[in-house]
Amino acid sequence: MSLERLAAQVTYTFTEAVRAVESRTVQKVKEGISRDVVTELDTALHELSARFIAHAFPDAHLLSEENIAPDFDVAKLRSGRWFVIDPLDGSTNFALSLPGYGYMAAVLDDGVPNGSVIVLPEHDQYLIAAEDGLRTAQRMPAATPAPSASIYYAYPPRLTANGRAARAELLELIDCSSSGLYRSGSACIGLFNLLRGKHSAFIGHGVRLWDALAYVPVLHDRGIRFRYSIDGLRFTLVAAYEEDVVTGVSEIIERHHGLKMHAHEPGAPLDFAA
Amino acid sequence: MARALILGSGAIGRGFAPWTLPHFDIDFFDISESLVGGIAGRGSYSTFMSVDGELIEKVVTPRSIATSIDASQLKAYDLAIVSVGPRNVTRLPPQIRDLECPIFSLENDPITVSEIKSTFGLDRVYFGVPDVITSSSASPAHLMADPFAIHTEDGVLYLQDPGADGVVLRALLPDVRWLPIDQLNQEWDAKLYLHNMPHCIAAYLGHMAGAKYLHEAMSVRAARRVVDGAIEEMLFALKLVTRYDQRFMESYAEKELRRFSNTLLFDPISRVAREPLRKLQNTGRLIGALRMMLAAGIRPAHLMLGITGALLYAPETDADHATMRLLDDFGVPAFLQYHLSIPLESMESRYIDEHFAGARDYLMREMA
Repeated sequence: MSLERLAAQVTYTFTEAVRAVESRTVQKVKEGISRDVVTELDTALHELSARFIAHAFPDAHLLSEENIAPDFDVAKLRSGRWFVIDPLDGSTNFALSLPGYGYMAAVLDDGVPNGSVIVLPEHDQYLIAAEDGLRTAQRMPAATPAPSASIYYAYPPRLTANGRAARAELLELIDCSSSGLYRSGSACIGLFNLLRGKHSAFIGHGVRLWDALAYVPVLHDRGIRFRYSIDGLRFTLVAAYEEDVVTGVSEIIERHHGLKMHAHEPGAPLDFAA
Repeated sequence: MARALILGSGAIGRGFAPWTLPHFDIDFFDISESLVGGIAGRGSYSTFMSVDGELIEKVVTPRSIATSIDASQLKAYDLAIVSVGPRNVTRLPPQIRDLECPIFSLENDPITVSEIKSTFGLDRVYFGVPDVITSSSASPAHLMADPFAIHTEDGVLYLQDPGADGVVLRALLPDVRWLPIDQLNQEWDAKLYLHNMPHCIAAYLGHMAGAKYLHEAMSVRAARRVVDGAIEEMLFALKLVTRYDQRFMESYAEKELRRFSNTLLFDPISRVAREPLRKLQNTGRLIGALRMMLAAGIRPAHLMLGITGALLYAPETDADHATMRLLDDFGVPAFLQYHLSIPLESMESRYIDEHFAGARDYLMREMA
């Protein structure tokens, strides 16, 4: 069993779902936040992931957006094998038949991001990061950002006062460093477009772990600079082609949130703050 | 003596090309250290050409053979040939951008010409079609004497006429047929659809039947029936859809079956069948043929068996094994879409999806 098989099964499920209107049915709206929906496809992909892990990696644990316990202790991710999954990032887009959605699964071994599966059905693309490198369905040559590239900026609803202040400074940095802000409801697609050079940087400002963790091995493979901070289930990630942007964004985050933005070396465990 | 650089010392590069270069000193390049070291150590190797049922030997003594390009020699070549496999043309050593001679891509896809041009900033790159079956191996007896021996048939090398660039070369290459690009494309289409298509089908079905060499596959009656049928379907489509000379196509198709059955070639199925994803590419020998037949209203029953054979080809030693072995997990439509850019709702995808299970059952009964 391998991550390729997970990618294959997810791809199959997406292909069948695109044909089936009912897969876009919203089953629930989380916490009354209309942008945070669960569709039939979310559920199907979550259940597929759970079955795959139970069969292929019976000793592994699953942390999925669709099964997170309210009191989950993120320190657990420091030991053992974990799959951290967002079954359908961009659910709202999918429910509304708008573009921008994908599947992400990150594999952690004792806190080390060792692999991932990312499926992007609108692009006929999957990315599988494993010990032997990055495999993709379609060729994906290394990119340089276009001169008119924007910066993708993802942030959650209900930011704190510090968060709103950081956001204001980040928006100014974005306007000074790029053609402007881009935001489309899917961090998965935002990071994919960073790899393709459509964006010059990606900022995930207090998003959830499963929103971006799967891309860590991919960023290493592509040699894209990044820093991160983990605070409970909140994940702040800045990835950019230019070191100045990484440094500038990190400084703003650190100053407003009192967090440390870490660099990361391949093979090293992530720093999980409880 | 004129000087030639052959990039890629596989079947075409070392097996066939030297027969067409009688007036050249040849430098070989290949990334295989064992191949390069082996031939360098021996000083020469033999290529055997099948002519009228007999094998004629040519001992080739390279001027040099290496895993790197000697930059100091680049301006000395009169001709360069690329035969490294279509997937590898963009990974050639960067030094080739300093070549000043005409370069001929003998890969099985004219797009490799523009890929070489754009990757290396070269202008004088042209297309060539080696109309020949060349093994990557030889008979056991010849391999015992020379582990780098190769068997080839007596084929024809068609090269794109490079105009003024070819004035000197035409004199140096008396056995080459020079064609303008339009005619070369016709030759390539014929080769692609009437040679490459049935050739790979024979390999896939032969693999299922447990054969090791192509000529063994052709002796399996069930496989031979499918190959014959696919050629018939293809001929019919080409006659309906193209304006190619029909007598040319018919005589070409007729000789193909004789060529595939040549017991002197020892052409491994693993070579002919390798990289099934490349054989299945959207505009290639199998799917391109399918599209042409469907558009012409021809039922591609035998071709579909060949496509199924390709989809089922997943030996561990093949470069595409990791992907091919997961066909059932992907499902046929997603597999075609993600790996071959064949859209879900296309007629090709729908046809293959609808007929795959039945074709697989048939092949399992008839070939295994």
